[in-house]
Amino acid sequence: MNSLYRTMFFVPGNASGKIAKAEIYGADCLIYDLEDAVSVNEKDAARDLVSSFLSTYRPDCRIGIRINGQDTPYYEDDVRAMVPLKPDFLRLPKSETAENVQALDALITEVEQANKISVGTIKIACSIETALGVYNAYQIAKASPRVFAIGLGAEDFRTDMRMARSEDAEEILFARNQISLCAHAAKVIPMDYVNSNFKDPEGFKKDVAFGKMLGFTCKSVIHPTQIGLVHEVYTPTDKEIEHAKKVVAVYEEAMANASGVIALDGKMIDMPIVTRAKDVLAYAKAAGKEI
Amino acid sequence: MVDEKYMEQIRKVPGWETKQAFSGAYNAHPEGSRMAPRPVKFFRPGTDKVKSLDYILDAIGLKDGMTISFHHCLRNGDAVMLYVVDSIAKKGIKDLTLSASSLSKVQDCLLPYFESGVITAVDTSGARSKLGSFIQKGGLKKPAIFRTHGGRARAIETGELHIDAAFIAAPACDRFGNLNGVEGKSACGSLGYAMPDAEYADHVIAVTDGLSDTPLDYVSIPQTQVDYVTTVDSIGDPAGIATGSIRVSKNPAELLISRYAAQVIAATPYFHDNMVFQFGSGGMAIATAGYIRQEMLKKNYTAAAGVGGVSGFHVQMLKEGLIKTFYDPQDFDLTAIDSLRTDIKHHEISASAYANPFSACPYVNMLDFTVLSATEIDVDFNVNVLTDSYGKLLGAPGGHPDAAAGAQMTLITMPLLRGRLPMLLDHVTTVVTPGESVDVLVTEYGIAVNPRRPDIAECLKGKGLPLTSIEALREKAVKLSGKASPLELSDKICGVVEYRDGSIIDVIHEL
Amino acid sequence: MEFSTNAVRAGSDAKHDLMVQLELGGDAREVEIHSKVEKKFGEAIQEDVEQVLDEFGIRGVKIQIDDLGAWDFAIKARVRTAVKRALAQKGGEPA
Repeated sequence: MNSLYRTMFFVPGNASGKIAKAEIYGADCLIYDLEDAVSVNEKDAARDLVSSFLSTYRPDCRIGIRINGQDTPYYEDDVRAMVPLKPDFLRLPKSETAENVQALDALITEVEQANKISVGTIKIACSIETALGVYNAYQIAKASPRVFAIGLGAEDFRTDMRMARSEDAEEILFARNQISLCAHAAKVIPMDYVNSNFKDPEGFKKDVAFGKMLGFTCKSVIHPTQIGLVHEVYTPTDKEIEHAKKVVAVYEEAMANASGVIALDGKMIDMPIVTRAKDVLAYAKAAGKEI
Repeated sequence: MVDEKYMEQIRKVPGWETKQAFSGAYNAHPEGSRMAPRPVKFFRPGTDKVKSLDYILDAIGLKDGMTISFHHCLRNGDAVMLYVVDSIAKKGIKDLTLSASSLSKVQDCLLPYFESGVITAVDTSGARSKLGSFIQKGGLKKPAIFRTHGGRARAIETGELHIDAAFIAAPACDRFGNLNGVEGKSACGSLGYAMPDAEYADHVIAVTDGLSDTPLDYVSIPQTQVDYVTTVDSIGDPAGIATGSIRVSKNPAELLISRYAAQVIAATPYFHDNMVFQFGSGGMAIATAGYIRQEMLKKNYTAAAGVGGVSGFHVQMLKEGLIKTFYDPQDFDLTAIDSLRTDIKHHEISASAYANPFSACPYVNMLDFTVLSATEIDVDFNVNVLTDSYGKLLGAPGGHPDAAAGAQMTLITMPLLRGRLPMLLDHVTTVVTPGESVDVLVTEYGIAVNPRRPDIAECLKGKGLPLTSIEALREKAVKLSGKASPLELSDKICGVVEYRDGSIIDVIHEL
Repeated sequence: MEFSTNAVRAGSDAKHDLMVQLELGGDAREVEIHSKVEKKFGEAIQEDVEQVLDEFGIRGVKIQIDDLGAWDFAIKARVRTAVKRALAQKGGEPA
């Protein structure tokens, strides 16, 4: 299993065929969805199905569960049923304030203790879906040590903001920036929003590349074909890896010889460039590339 | 593989006393000369070959116990077998051996002739549906023989399979007996599977719905081999003969497998400029070919040759110049048929040229790699393409064992599970293609390389591919599907599966 | 299998899923299984059902399973959901 969260693939929590097959597409993380993908009459069935699956079989990747929101009657049952399965994290929809997160934190602690799971094992990923949430993004990210990622729920956010949806998602640009900024400030993973247009691979790749430029390192996806595309965009190319190797080599040689100015192909190499090159190599390695 | 107790049963069948059990994919030591006896002929100039079938059956002296043959190039549209067998039955002839290059579902219509004893033995590549059930109820007088395409050609040429009368469905045929498959309302493309029959049968009868008064320009089987021509209104249903368009898989799991397969190929030395390959015409094989095409464009490679069944996708690559020449024993769609007729780089070859192991070098031996599917595979890489998980006849060996044996690298692309049923087993229900000739298994859960091929395994390291062992994949399949009750098959055998060299590789059990 | 209006259902008729119909009552377990993979997995399905009934300590019950090639995690889950639904209907007390 690699250590990256490039892709979080949503799997409908009540679809047994999809649950069984989801791992094959190579997502870094699977999120079993008890929320939007499950009708209100089947919430109990989805919980049983996901429990039954995860207690007998563990896909070889990170596991998350999207629980129902705190304003629903399913929230508490979800947490009580899912925490004992020891997923890597629960994904909380409609995170608006630090208090939302702390309430979930407390409930998880209670269930962890009851199940003899060491406290703090299960992390929280926060979906921020409202204007208030985006405004509070940094506080949400810092609300609990369990929080390891925050991301934008674009559809709900648009609704809350009375925004119309545009082709290239221009209207959510500020919110994406804000989430990325607050995530980096709080040292948690920024998760880019779900782009549901899986019939246009080129447009989707453009959107992922744009998100990468904004600082996102993780994308939530809903269709298998999106997984490879995200990995393609996020994973350094062979050319980038070669360049990064050269940068690090030149830098290390200069350090060994105690020479002053470091240059590669006529361009000055300064510390941020070396740091980025090391990042590229670490990321490539984590993504299973031969370094 | 075949159990010795079944070999004892098999050797008790008259004429089968010397049948050998399979002992290795490349372990054949053929002896003797390629001289299946064939009567000499004289044809008086000015006489007419075109006769009624009734006349022909009398003229050739067809009688009880003989072997009649057909090709399956009309696939699931064929109407010729029914027409001929019905005419024979009306003459009161019985106890025939039906030798067909394969039998499709459309041949269910022959069931009454099996039940009434007109046909009592079968020699084919596949048998399914009602004929399959009849065979598995023990309805035949002796076990049916299931052969590969190359194996059938071998059996005919060595005289092991002697054909008394070959009835060749001919989409186009002239009065002299020249015939082809690329013209006429029932065009089917290459007649590769009819060629060995035409060359070696005692009597060769063309059955056509496209009689031409002038000599044909395009000749697949020449007049020198054809004794009689008979006409019918229709030799078959065009909808069943050829499909209209290419089917590329849209299933994300199948696309994933196809992409892995292409990545595997591209990582090995078998992917090079001037490579030779064979892809099947199933959805996954075509999808794999699509990914390989992209890799070829990236590297600026072309294939020197394509071998095997042709569909529109292969033709597209031929037209683009990505495949320089094509050796074609069978066509699946109208685009392919049209290409065979018009493109000089598209060559019609016989089943023998394609795959007969007992020749100086069949075309499958050219293959750098081939991508094949399977119904089941086991931890020894043995493949089943003939029966389902319950031992029921379903598919056909076809060219599978031939291509696998010939190619430098053979990839099997298949899902690890179909529904709840694991397709990777400890032992396949029926061995058709020996694991010795299978190199890589590509599934949606990972890729396993045959331990016989450490060279290939080495090429795949560090490419970001989900490499694993076949045992680990098997464990995964078991873990996912749960404990299956063992399949209990009857001790009574109703069919033998011949490897391409004629040895018995497995048996078909009664159901 | 005949059921009264008290019977509960769980699952669906989707591929890889199953439909469970269940009614508590009586003093024996009546289990009827329909599955296209019955030859290979009929016994495994039966075991799964028994295991879940044991978990809940249920003795008297009628169950019909219509399986469409579901994997065993799904079979157990659907039976569990059905049992829980039936128990909830009865006021939470095992029969």
